[in-house]
Amino acid sequence: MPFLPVRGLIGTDYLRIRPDFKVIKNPYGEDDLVAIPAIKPDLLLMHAYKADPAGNVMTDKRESDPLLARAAERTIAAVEEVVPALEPEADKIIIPGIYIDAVVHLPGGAKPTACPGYYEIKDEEIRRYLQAAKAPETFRRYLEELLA
Amino acid sequence: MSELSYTPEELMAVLISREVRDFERVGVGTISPVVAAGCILAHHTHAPNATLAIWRFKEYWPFTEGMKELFDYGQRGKIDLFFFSGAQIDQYGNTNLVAIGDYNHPKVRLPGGAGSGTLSYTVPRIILFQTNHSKRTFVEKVDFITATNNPPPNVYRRGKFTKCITPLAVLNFAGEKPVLEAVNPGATVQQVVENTGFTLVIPARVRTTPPPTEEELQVLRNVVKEKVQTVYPEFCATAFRN
Repeated sequence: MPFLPVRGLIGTDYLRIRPDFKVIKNPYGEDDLVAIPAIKPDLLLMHAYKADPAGNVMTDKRESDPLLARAAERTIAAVEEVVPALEPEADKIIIPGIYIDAVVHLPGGAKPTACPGYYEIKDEEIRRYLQAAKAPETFRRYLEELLA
Repeated sequence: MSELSYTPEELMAVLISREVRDFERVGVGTISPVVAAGCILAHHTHAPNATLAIWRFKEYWPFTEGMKELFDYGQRGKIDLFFFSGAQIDQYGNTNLVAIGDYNHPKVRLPGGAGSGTLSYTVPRIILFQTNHSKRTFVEKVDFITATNNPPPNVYRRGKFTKCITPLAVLNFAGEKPVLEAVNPGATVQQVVENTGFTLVIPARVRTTPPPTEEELQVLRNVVKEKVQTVYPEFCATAFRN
């Protein structure tokens, strides 16, 4: 699918900064629409709950990762757990291994943000991150501490 | 100013609640604790049959998938009322959630507009809110139009951003020029004018917002606070009076 038509955005500054967003005529009506070109990521790095040895990956069905995995050229999934086999779970979805190029076992990989069911977001951790991210030097030290 | 018996957040939640009509389908986005509180208050007072879709609230999420499903539902024309904010809101009612300063060299990079650039066309009633009423937030012209209140002709559009609720006042953006619709209890017309970065039309007699009732505050500080607490504990630590 090369693009999707969207109702909206006309009159906003999105069209000013995105010359690739084109105003088109609605072929089935009178109004103007915006054509949004497809995004084809070269690489998707995602963090998920679990994976099995076949590369199937379980993630939250409320997030966009399944769609992104299908769109991306290559997908690397970091996961909290590697299990022998995945069983269906409420509010979760399994991305088939055919869309996954590599799995990395990386517990805590979503920190300092949350991985629901494993760890929650902590405001003081986010504040520490924001403080550290202001300069390359402090950020390097922050990463070293985080990975230690 | 005389001492008020409620916080600015409580007042805003009450004013937001009064905008929700029974049986409406209402959407609330992310990082909007005061709107979440207001909508849940409406649900426990005058709008028990409203359907609320509040991001991150399990009890108020009528979908099985994520934010995309809410946006799609709104694009489909099924949402009756949505609340937006802007780091900047201008005299035309346009909002900015993208960048302060020049887009390519921003002074502040903002979180982004999420669905506001599209939902504004397909949701018939959109109400703005801003918890900080100042010249920094209410500006003559936003640095980046994220959601427009004035789309060009030949575009599908169902409604205007009729009003903006702040701790000081209710501003109305439905007409050609922004109008001071009401001042909130404890605030003065002069205070609103001094904290607004554009010229407001001031009617000869400015209405004063009816203050929160005992019942509204009672429900807000108990059942509503309990529910909002689970998602926004930091907000709840200071927003409600005991």
